[in-house]
Amino acid sequence: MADSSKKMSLMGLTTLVTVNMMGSGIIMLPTSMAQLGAVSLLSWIVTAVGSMAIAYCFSQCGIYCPRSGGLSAYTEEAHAKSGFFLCSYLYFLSLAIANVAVAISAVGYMTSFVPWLGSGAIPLFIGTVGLLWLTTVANFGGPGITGKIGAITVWGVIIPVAGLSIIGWFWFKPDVLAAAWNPNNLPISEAISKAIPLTLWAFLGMESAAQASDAVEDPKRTVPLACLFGTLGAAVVYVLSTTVIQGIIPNAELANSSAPFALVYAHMFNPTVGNIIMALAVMACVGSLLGWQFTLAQTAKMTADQGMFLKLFSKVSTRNAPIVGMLVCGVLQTLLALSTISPNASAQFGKLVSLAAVTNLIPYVTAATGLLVMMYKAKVSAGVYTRNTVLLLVAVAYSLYALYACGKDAVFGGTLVLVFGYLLYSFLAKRFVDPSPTAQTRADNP
Amino acid sequence: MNVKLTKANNLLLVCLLTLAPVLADANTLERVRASNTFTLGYLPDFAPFSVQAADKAGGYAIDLCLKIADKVKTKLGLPGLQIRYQPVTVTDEISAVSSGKIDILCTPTPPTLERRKAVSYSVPIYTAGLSAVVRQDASEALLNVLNGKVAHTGPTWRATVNHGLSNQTYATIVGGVTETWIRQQMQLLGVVATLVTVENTDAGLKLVAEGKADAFFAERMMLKNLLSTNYSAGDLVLLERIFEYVPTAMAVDRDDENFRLLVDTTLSEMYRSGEIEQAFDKYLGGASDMAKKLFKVYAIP
Repeated sequence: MADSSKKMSLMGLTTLVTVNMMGSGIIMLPTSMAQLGAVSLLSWIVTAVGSMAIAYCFSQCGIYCPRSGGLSAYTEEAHAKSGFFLCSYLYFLSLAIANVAVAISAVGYMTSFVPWLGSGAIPLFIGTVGLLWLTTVANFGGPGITGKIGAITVWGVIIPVAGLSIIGWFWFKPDVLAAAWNPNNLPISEAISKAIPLTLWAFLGMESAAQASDAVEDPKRTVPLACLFGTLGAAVVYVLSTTVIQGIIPNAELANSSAPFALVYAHMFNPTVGNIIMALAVMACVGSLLGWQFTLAQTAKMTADQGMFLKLFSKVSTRNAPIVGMLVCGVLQTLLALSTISPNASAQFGKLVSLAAVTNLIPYVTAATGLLVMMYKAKVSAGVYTRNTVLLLVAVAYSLYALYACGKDAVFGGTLVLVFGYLLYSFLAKRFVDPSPTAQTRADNP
Repeated sequence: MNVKLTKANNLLLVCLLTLAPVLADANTLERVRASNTFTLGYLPDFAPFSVQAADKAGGYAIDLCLKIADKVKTKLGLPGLQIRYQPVTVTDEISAVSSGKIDILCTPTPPTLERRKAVSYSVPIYTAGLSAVVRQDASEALLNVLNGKVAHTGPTWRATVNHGLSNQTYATIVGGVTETWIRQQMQLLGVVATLVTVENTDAGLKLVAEGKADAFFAERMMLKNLLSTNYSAGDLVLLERIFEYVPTAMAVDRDDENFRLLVDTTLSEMYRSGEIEQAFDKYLGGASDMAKKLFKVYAIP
């Protein structure tokens, strides 16, 4: 194991969580919300509370289950070895696919600076693969370096988004917000139910703290805190920035903007500032890709450490970076990126991306529910048990709603992938039968 | 005596001719009788409705106008009536009617209240449908939006490319579909649209073919016609969906109810006799069931 200087600090992990969560999703969020009107802001009440409940459960899991393995280890507490494997398998698939999609989006945002990237399918492919490999190679330096790069790219979120939440109020006009309230004159209940799916997903990524538990200093303290701080910070920034922006830019303009943060800064200052903001937002997007590639490799490594993924994923360099595993992921993602070349294949890839949201959410439920067993083992007081159980139910309800919101096509595909996972696990299961039937119990306390 | 009368008649004619510009506003039929010429105004590049062919013109609307000309001949008793084809432009088509430069605007236009301040209209001769042309390889998101469905279904999470928003460039003819209309249609469907305007249908299709625009909105029949002549390779496709319907008609003088009655009588008779349907078959690829229902609505009993 590498010494702690090559590991990530609390600050590093918190920025990783924040950038992972906000990096790519925030860029277009104000536009989607403005299309519905400022009434969509009400949906944050539901989604921020639900997400905080999930983050709270994960941080509790991190306290009671400090072992390596992240979500999969939490899952194993209640759902045994097969749960560990399925959780890793689903989550790994989700990230492998989603990261390619994040790269495609990042290239899309870059076209305003490098128009060539938008000139056809081949430039898009080259840009996507280039970004995937750039962020893979940047992770070769180990978690310490990843954390340090993250500390730079996080400014891409801090300046445009968090900065707007603070200074934007000087330009804020309540009447602009009031005029933007409900431009389509939808009934309030309908408007909110249409808005929830927009903000529901904004917090996905709070689990990346747990997935990095192998690579951080003092995981028992760092992981729960980073998970909570990261999610809380994101919630505050999300709510403030999407509120203030709708009180600065008139609704019609905002709803038709392909770069809302650049637009608002151009409005407040001048177009040059707008362009700088767009560049920063793209940097944050690339930074989030770096963080997600890191999380992907860590997930594979932790699973391979348990003997459930190929051994090559667990090989680490002297700098604590699973380089071989990263290379394998990179090749896999390059193949996925080939789909951008034909419109037909990219439509298929779009379905995979939706499916990946489902395989991202199932582990939330399996991991969070592990908390009940952990609390039982830790013999927590009745008060703590009740409090955690209530929040757990909120978290699971939220995850189930998110699964429902994926729509039947995505859930259909996700279910097939899940069931296929049982076949895969059946080939591995024999490893955990020997040497004695008690092996499973021991595996809980490595 | 006779000679004198003729002289007097000639004098009267001269007087009338001198007065013609003044009287023009008042009476189309008198103008036609006096000049022995029936002037058909038309847009020369409006296939399949009106197209220039040397010093004449052809097309669906021109055929209908020739029928009206026949009626004028009978009504005025002028078997030797001259037919003159006068090309007009989009900008002066209405003033050409109101000033008496042309007797009727054959090329159908939608009767708007603004236009009605200057001219009057016949019964509708064609129900225009607004549709759009896209490239064969158009993205699913674009097709969804154009068909009135949300651009992106399923979860909109961080991995959803561009957050599910489809960023499009739409083209339309100057003075055609407005950006407001596009916004209204598509605001809740997850689309960010930039609108560019072009001079005519041909230019719009060219933009789409070159990839400079993603969809071009124009009248369906005109799109269909141009697609089959200029883009037969099938790189461009016409959407099945029709966004808006608008009846279009021939513009006539605002102050000549007699002439308007003659035009409407001719057209109503054609609707009932099935001649319009024949013209549809000849120029517009046949009449749909809906068009046939509308024939009955448009014909004045």
